Amino acid sequence: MSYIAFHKEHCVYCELCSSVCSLSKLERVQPRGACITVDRDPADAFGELRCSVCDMTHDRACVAACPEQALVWDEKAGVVRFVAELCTMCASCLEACPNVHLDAVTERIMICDLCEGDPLCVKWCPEGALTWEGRS
Amino acid sequence: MRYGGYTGKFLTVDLTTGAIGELPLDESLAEKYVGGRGFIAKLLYSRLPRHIDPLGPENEIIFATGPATGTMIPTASRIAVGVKSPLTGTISASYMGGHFGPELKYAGWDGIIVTGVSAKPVYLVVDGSQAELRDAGHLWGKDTEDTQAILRRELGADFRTGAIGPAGENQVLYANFMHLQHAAGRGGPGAVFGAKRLKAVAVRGHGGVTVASPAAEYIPACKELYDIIMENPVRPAFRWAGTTGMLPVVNEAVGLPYMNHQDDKAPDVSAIHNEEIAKFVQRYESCNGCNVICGSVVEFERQGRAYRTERIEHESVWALGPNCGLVDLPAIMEAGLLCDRLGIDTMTAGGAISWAMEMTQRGELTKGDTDGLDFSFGNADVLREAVLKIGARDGFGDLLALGSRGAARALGRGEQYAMQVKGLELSAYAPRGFTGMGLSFATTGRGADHNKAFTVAAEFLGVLGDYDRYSLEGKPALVKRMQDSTAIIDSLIMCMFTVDLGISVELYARCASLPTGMDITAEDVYTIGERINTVERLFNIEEGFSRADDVLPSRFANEAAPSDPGAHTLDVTAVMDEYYTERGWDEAGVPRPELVERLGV
Repeated sequence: MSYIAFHKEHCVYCELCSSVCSLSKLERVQPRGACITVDRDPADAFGELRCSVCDMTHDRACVAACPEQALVWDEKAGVVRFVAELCTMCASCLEACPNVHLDAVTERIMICDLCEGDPLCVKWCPEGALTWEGRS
Repeated sequence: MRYGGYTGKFLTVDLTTGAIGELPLDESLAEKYVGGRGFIAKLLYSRLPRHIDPLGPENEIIFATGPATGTMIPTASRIAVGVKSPLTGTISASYMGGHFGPELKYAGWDGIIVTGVSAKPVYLVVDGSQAELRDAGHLWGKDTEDTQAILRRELGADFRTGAIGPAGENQVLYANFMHLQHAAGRGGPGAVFGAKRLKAVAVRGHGGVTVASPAAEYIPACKELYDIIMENPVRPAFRWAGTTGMLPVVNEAVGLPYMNHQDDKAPDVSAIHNEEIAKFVQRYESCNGCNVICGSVVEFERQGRAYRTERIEHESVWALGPNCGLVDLPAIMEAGLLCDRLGIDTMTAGGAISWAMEMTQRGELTKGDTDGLDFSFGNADVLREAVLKIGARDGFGDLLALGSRGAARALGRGEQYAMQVKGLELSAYAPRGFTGMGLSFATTGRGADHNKAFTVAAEFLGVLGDYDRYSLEGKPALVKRMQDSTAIIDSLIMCMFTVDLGISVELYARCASLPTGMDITAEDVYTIGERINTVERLFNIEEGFSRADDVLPSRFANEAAPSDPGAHTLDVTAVMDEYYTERGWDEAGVPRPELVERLGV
């Protein structure tokens, strides 16, 4: 199982990962609507940076939470797929997992699909803060 | 709006009535003025009545992004803040990086136009298409850091914030507007916020911005630009040392002003060498969409007081350091941090303090005039006290709050020691050592500004040509061309550092064309830049500025720098006719009617 790993000590908060992700998936630059987002410990202006992206490794709480099968586990690719037509915007997945994101404009649920085997965010990170781990 | 990169509208906020509205962005404004500085030039020129008090209700604050802001064009994180400057009376735009500009775009706005004056302190919240003014009574008096921390707590950490500090509230003429540690500072926009009782702005956007071509084409085109920067040999210096890497090099070359420009070389800058500054670095941090990564978080102590902030930059470390005859790094960093927290432009603060120091040196000021403070060159301990007094406009600080020229005029003496043009203090490049910088200082619309034609690149760094740094030969044409090409950088808005990192005028044209879908050529870059500079000039001319204001302090023509073995002096008036001819201005410095017509102003 492969996934995007975040190394916070290298992150400089350039937002290139979330920018390129959103542009690629949504045809819009919108870091908040990307599959990967970076933010900061809210209590501290210089606080620790945090990354939120599907780690592909745990219980797939989003899939379990979805009452409509709008989120399905693609075992072959090792990623969760979003089926927009089945989504009722119940937000159960967003509550179930902090690594599930929402694009507010299209109301699409955004979950990392590893860019079909060539993650753009990893390629665009200028500091090596993102790596693609566990790929075979 | 048929062009990509724009949202197509400005938010309008009338502080007098509290009315919130929107102004559609005219397509021809985008075509002729691009964004950022260009928008501010055109809007202020068209909208402001002449001869208004910059601190009165008729002045406007214009936030303007550019079409590249937040669109993955490298370094295009920046936003411009425009006002009629309270420090200079000229048209003025100041710029800040970080994350504020892109967020405004993602919220659906190309900019914000703030008019009028509020009866009580307020702050502006922009949450996507919704905007409202809220009571800022609890924020008034707070510094820029505390204010923004409170806003994040109240509104949510995902809001991007900017605020003035006590200096802006007290209308220090060079007060800035701070987003985190990023300052829109030069020319004193913060004083206009203070006069309007607008304490802060918070922005959040969930919309995003679209570009002219499909992502599958746009992303690789952007990647090429990032790769050019990443592979540039200068990039590692910025990445490691920030801007301060230049300081020892410029000093060694007898180009770093010392003691209020009395000399052009400090005896020893090893204590403020970038290697010393690097010792305080905890980690690195960049602006949105940038792979240069010149920022970093530092921790340091002075006299038992512990601080955490962003690393001090070249201009600040110079203005508060060698310019004041000192190299005490913790004292300089502490003064820089206090300027940030109080909301004061470090460069003019340093220029005002160094003026007081030269006045003291010459017996024109005594401790009796300065609240007992010792303004001797080299006295590091006076920096903190001076900055605190300026921010509070307390005692002697009330005089220094006017800037060096304003202080001299209020005092009735010492204007020859005010190292400024049009009221804006000079930067960290010695005019006698870089004559193009001298000409640029003398002729730039907002006063002595090093970032409107950074000729040091062509006169010293060998990036844009190979000019004799001491001779004025060819400089009028060089300065004119660089002022014009820089206007595009300030309008897209990209970071000035890209000039040194392999982004040519052809590539700026590409950076303008890619997000917008316009077909902008290198030739267009110069024409648009010429138009912006001409409009700024027309604004200033109609405000009463003239050839008599395009002058450097008399020191540079009359005295050589003692450390300069060539004993060079500089009189830029010798080439002013040539410069005006290059520009299409008449001998009085007024743009000729045929130029105005050709540019379609």
